[in-house]
Amino acid sequence: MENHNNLSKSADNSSTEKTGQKTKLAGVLNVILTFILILIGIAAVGLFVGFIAIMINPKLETFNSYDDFRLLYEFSPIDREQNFEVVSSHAALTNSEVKLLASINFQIASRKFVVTFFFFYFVILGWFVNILFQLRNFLRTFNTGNPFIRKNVQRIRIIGWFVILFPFLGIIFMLAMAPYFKNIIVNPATPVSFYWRSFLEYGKDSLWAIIFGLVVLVIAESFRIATQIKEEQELTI
Amino acid sequence: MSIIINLDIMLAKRKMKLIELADKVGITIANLSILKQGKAKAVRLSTLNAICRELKCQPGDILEYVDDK
Repeated sequence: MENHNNLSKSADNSSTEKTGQKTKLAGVLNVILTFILILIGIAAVGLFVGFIAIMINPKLETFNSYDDFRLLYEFSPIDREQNFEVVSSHAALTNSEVKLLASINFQIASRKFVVTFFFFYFVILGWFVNILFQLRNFLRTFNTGNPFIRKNVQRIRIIGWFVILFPFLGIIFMLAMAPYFKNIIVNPATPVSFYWRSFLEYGKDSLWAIIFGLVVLVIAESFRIATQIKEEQELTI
Repeated sequence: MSIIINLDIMLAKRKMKLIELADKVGITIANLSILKQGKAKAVRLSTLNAICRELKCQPGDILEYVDDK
């Protein structure tokens, strides 16, 4: 019985030393994450203010046709089908560049575009905020000495799914932006729509998100097993 | 879980209080009450050894198996 007491005492001492070191790191990460979340909060407020500023701008009209856009911005008569002359006091842009700018401006200078664009930016911002928020709450439990609780398993799982599904959110965003960008041709010599090509590039970049999300989900599963073991150990007399 | 803990019966027989037994055995009152309520998932043999030593009884006096069927 005395041997058992000595063993359990030394085990407790080493575990409190280890948890002391670990909670230091968790504390630092907690501070960093809280700081990042506050920064994102400020960015969100700024984004909202910008959104309001754009929406109340009287010059932002909904253009029903290219001609309305042209009238508002006082271009000289332009034939949309052919290359047009540039009337500009700045360094001359090539005809294709002006056509590109005109096509973008025409589509983007509309309330519908602004609303859709800002909506998706807020969703993406919220997506990141949620991931960091779950991570921050997860780290906060480290100070109690026992991070193996069911809520933490849920948090890690949420992080994993949010990371995996982020590229798909990006795809939805690009699909929503389709009516505004699909007509743009970067080089008139090779009339390929850059919009549909951009899906390919985006898919290549998003592979890492899926891999990382899978790793996090596997970690969440191992955390669940650890929680099970911890609960059983707590109820061992 | 179909192992019944008859700790309260043994405590009454030996006229000992829960707090007293917890002190003598060397486990917390919370743990002992978890055991008494039957919520424990496992009992260490060393703990069982200590309880039987203090209550001067056999493990079968405290633990009883009841078939679930």
